[in-house]
Amino acid sequence: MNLKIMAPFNTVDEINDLAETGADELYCGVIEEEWLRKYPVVGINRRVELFSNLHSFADLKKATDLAHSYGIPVGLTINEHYYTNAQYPYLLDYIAKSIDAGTDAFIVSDPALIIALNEKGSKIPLHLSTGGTVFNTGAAAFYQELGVSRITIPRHLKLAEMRTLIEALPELETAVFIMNSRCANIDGFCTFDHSPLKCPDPVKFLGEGALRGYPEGVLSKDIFATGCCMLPYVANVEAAPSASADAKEKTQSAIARQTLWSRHHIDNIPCGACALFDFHKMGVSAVKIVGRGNPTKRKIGDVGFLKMLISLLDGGELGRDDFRKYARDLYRANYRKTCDSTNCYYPEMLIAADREECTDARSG
Amino acid sequence: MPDPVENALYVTRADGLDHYEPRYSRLYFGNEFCQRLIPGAKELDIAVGFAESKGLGFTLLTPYVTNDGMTGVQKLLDRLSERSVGSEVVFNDWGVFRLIRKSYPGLRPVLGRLLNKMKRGPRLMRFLGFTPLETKEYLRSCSLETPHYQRFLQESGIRRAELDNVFQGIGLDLHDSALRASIYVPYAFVTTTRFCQASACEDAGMEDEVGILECKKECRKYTFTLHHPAMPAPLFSKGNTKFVRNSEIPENLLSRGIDRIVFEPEIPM
Repeated sequence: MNLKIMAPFNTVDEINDLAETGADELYCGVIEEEWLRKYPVVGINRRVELFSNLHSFADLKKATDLAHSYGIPVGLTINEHYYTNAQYPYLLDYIAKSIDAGTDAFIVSDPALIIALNEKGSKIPLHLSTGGTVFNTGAAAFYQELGVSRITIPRHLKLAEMRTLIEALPELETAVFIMNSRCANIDGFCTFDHSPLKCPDPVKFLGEGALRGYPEGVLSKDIFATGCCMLPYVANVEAAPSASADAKEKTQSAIARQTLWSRHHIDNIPCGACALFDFHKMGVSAVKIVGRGNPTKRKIGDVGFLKMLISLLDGGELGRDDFRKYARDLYRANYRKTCDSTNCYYPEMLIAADREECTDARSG
Repeated sequence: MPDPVENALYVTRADGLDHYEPRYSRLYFGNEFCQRLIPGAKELDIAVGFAESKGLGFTLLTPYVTNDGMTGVQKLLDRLSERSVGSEVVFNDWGVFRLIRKSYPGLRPVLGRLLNKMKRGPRLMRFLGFTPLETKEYLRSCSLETPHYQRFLQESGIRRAELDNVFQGIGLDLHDSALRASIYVPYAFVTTTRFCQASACEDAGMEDEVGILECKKECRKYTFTLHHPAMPAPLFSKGNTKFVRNSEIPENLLSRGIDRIVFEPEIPM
């Protein structure tokens, strides 16, 4: 089975280039003004910001028509972690419109939504988002029994843990993360707000009144735009072992470690490409590129990068170690980044590699 | 007259049993966040024995787990089902729920707070007042209020769900459903990770290292607070999880179907 590349898009205009570069599957979100008026800081699909979404079902129809002309399916994200009663009338209408628009799969994470879709007799395949938090075979089987046909495996599993899960349920499709936005915390268990103000026009989303009155410098749009996991926190130790000199040094290291995500952005082009060899062997169905709101050039670059590596795998020309080295070299050459554990999707790959080789950006 | 709200004591280890007071009628025991901290059978025996000696109901807490971690959970469930039929098991992983349903019919599954996805990050309190009513209502509730999900839970033998004491308040009303809820006080979990920032934290040179690292249970030694002006309350960082502290117990719990308060004398790690 070939590894498929699952690529994001947010405008119809991107589809030709993504398809011709090598995307095998596409996914997107739709957010309408009606939703934003009521829920300006609450997503319908984990992306509140307008620029990460299509804005109408007419656009979704154009997107699916064009993607289908290439033989490429389009998945629609409806993967907010939960929905309430008041949202269901809108949500069910939204789902009906997306079916009419030719959606090939729903990417979902809330078990309650899955149950609602089953009760409505939906025949659209259900793909579980990482928000479903499948860390073991039993959890995967639970969702399979609810009718889910594909599981997105959370970022926080080791390769060996993924392998046991995939081998136990061979009839279930699996997707794994491969590029961009490597969350510091477990997506499906993270209850921080994901504010929408990282956008060109925050007032458009919250209105002027929403921003007025915040103390200067305290709640600027920059602070809202920074994920809660990466804010420049002041860390203090509440309880520590003892006051000895040695203990003081250890405590300083411990405090510094608490703020590591203030020093490293979670979206500093994180990558798991050198694990593609293992994913191919495991029988992973698709590798997922994150970044619905990324610039088109970046999306196409990501697809091209992965397509080249997967072509090598399909050709069977390289052994595991050579493939990994080639993937790391290509990453550093393409993105001008070093490989280190803060931007490596699967850090155990770094442990297996020569650290100097990974961190030498010039070798690319 | 409605039954009074039940008071439960939550401890993660047997040495936490010192926190017992006569006002408690139930003992919560275990860990919700890290499979490395799942207690052993011996500790479980001590906790169950303590509960029996005081006439307390018993609730075992379990975390999200990998296949390896599931083995540890299974050992505890084996032991618990031998010792204490009718005990509750809080699951925070649908795989653990499936195991309970299939293999331990004598144990009562309780939907854990990690599977109730209400927002807890305190930053939202900075903008809550400026948002439309629909947004406020959303942030104060969760999918537990939907009738189709309540039906599913009931048919699956799940009669109780666990809630955190969120700053924005709880608007959820379960009074007319078959479901009952517990509320945890004062520590609400906010987020959790397997890239634990306590593991290897004493080792110089590891400050910026990310991964699922070997650990020496540094979480037992250290508790941190994280402060930022965007957050109206500090985050408490303990082990692989961040918490907030909210001691103010909401009013009218019973009228909303919340009939149990789970008291956490320490950050539950």
